[in-house]
Amino acid sequence: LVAPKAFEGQAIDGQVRRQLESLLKVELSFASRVADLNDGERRALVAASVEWLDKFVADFGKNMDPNQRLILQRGAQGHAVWGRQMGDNPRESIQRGVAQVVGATLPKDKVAAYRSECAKRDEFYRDVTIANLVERLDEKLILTAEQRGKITEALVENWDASLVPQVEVFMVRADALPGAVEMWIRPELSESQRRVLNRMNKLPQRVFFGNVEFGGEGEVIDDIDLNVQSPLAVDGPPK
Amino acid sequence: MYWLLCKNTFRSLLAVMVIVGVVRGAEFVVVEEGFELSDAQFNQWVYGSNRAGIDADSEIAVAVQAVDRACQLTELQREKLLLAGRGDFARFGQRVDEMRAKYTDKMHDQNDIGRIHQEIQPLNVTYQAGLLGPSSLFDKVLRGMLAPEQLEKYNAEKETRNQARHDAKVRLFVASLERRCPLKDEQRSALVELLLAETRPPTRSSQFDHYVVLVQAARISDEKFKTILDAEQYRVFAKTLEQARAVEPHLKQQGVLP
Repeated sequence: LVAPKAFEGQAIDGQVRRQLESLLKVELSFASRVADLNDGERRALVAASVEWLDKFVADFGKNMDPNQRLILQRGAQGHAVWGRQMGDNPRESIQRGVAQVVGATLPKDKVAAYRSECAKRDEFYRDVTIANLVERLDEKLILTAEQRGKITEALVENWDASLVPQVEVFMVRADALPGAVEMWIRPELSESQRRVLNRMNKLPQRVFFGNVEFGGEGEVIDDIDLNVQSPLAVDGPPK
Repeated sequence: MYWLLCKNTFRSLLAVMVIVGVVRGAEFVVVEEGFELSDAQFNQWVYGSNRAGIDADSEIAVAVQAVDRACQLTELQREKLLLAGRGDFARFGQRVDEMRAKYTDKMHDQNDIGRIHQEIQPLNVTYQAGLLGPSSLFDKVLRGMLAPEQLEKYNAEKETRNQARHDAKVRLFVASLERRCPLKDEQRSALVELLLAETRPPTRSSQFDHYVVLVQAARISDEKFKTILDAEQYRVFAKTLEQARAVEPHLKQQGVLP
C-alpha cells in the first residue's frame, strides 16, 4: 500500500490528529481517575498534554510510515504490516508523553499514584500477552502443565515489550506467533513439538493499532475535554 | 466468517486484516488475458504462509503424546491413534492437492480472484481449526477406544486446558476494553473476576474465542458491571457489548457457544 499524492496535506494531519486525540483522551482519563485529580489539576494536565500533543503530531506526521498514514486517514481501526519494521506505537508514545506531563504538572503524591497504577497496568498487559502467547503455543503444541509453567516463567523473566506485538494481535491473527520469543520457548519443547513450532506462522514485527475493539466504531471514553484552558489562563496566577 | 462480519457492516479489525492479508498474500501475476495463481500464493491462502505442506508426522506425534500423558495408552491404542491421525492428514492433503491442481499454474479470469479465494478459504479454516479436532477420525477413534477411566482422565486434562485458554481470553477481553475505557487496577481485577465467574470456555477452541467471551459478557446483568464501573466507563463498555448481537448468530452456527 502506498499513500497516493491526493492524501497529502493538512487534511491528512487533521485526520491523524483526531485518531491520536482519541488515544490521548483515554490516557488523560486514566490519569485523572487513578490520581484522583481535582478540577484544577485535571485542567492543568489536559492543557499541558494538548500542548505536548501539538508538538508530537507535527513530528509524527513527518516520520509516519506511508502505509500507516493511509490506514489512519481512511479511519481504519487497525493497521498491520508484515515484513516491515513499524515505527513507534503511537499509543505508547502518548502514554510516555502524558507520563512526562504528569511528572511536570501534578503534586508528588498524585504523580506517585499515577506511576503506581501505570506499573500495575503494564504488568497486566505483560501477563495478558504472555498468557495468550502460551495459549497460542498450546493450541498447536499441546503443552504439559510443566512446560506451560516454565515457558511462562521464562517469558516473564526475559520480558521485552518491543519483541512482542500488542495484545490486539491475539484477537485478530489467530494463526501466528510472535517469532522473537522463540528462544525462550524452544528449550522447553520435545523434538516433535519443535518441528511443529518450526511450521507455525510467525509474526516478526510489531503492529500498529488504533482504537481496536470488537468491530465497534472506535468510541472511547468521553470524560475529558481537550479544549479546556489551563487554570493559569482561566484563574490567573496563584495569589 | 470474515466476510460475514463485513456484511454486518461494523468496522471489524478482523475484516481490515483479512483485506490487508488477501491483498498482500495474493501476489498475482496479472497478464492481459487474466491472472495466474502461483503455488506460493496458494499455500499462503491455505496455510497462511508460503511453506508447502505440513509436518503431519510431528503434529500427529504431538497429539498422541498428549493423549498418552493424560491417560496412559496401550501400544495398540497408540498405533490406532497414529493410523487415524495419518488418515485425517491424508484426507486433508488430498483436498488441498485437488484444489491446487484446479487453480494453480493456470490462467483465470481476473474477476474470479474473489470467488477462487472463497473456494479455497474453507481449507484454511479447516487447517487453522486443527486436523485432529472434534470432527476428525482421530477424535472418533480416541473416544471409541478409551476405557471409561482413561476417557475421564483425558476429558479432565482437556477441561484444564480449556479453562486456562478461557482465562487468557477473558483477560484479553478486559485488556482490549481498557484501550478505550481506562480502568484502575481494582476495577480491572474485579472485572476479570466477574467474567471468569459468569462465563464458560467455548465448546471448542477457535479463532473466535474472544468473541465467545464478548457474547457471554453481554448476557451478564448490567447491575453487576455497574458495581465495578462508573457511569462513563459503563457507557463505553455497553457500546462494546452491543457488538455481541452481531456476532452471536455466527458463533451459534459455528457451534462454539457454551
